[in-house]
Amino acid sequence: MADLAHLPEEELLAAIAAFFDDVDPVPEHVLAAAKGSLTWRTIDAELAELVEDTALLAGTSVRGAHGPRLLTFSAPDVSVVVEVAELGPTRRLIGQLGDPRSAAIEVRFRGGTTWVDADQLGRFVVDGVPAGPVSLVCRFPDGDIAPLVTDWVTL
Amino acid sequence: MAMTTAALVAAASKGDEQAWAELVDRYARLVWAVARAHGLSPVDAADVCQTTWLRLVEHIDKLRHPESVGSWLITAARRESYRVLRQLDREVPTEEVDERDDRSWPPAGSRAAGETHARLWHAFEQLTDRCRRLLRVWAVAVDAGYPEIAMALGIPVGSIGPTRARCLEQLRGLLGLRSTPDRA
Repeated sequence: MADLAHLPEEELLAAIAAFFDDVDPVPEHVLAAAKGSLTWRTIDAELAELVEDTALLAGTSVRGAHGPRLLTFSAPDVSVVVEVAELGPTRRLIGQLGDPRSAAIEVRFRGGTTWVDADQLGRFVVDGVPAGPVSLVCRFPDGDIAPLVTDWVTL
Repeated sequence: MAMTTAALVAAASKGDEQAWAELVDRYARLVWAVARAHGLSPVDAADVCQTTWLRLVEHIDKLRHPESVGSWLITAARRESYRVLRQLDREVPTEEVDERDDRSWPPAGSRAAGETHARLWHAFEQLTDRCRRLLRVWAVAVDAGYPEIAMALGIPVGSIGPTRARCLEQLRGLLGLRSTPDRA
């Protein structure tokens, strides 16, 4: 091999990639989780994208005096706002559907799911959600609107 | 024959686990590198990676440019890294990566084995934070575009080319110093 300092650019970049594979590889559990994530795919649901996150607002500090973190997810038919409270290693989610109606909410997180009902005003509370990636699927008993799935977000 | 990225995305969006696994193999290093280049600890970087891949699952049948999934992943991983940094309540005064506390160097893994890697370690240790991060992401950026790489690193797109050239130059200089036998 030519001297490292004089390698052609492409080979030098390949050497850098191999170096980081050696000293800071993608952990096995991260790779395994990524490969297993396709099973979380929802087929029938409409995607509600994360359109607002107070954690990103300039000048606010999440744990400061600016109040709790608020996430707004939006889809063409319905939106949902979720307030996140940190309770040690778990999170409490307080949600409000943009359209006041009852729904069955599936809370998806690392290693499991839990269910909670939204009342007739579209409000719900769920405790004990582990920190890490979280997504909600909302199903509406009236059946006139498609289920909703929110973007995953790290809580 | 290797499938194109667009073909892998199309197959994965229909539920093909094998295509999905191959997509992960192709881009896992990139997503990890972006999270680590934001100075996140291995634990936080792992969360960012998991969220990024899960997010891709829900977006995979909606990608406007499936062949550019690498760029999509860089953007998603950057945003999520930024959110996590804010959650950690760390000072993130601007989007400038240089100003952040770097928790990705020295790497958590074992000290590099072999002469080549020992020399790279020594050189990377002396690089500026910005160059260390830029070269690391660039080395695994597969087919991502300049704009996304610039954005992933918080560097203006207009200066990413010159910055990259300067960082490569800096690295070659440090490697060259070491390669000269020291007989004095």
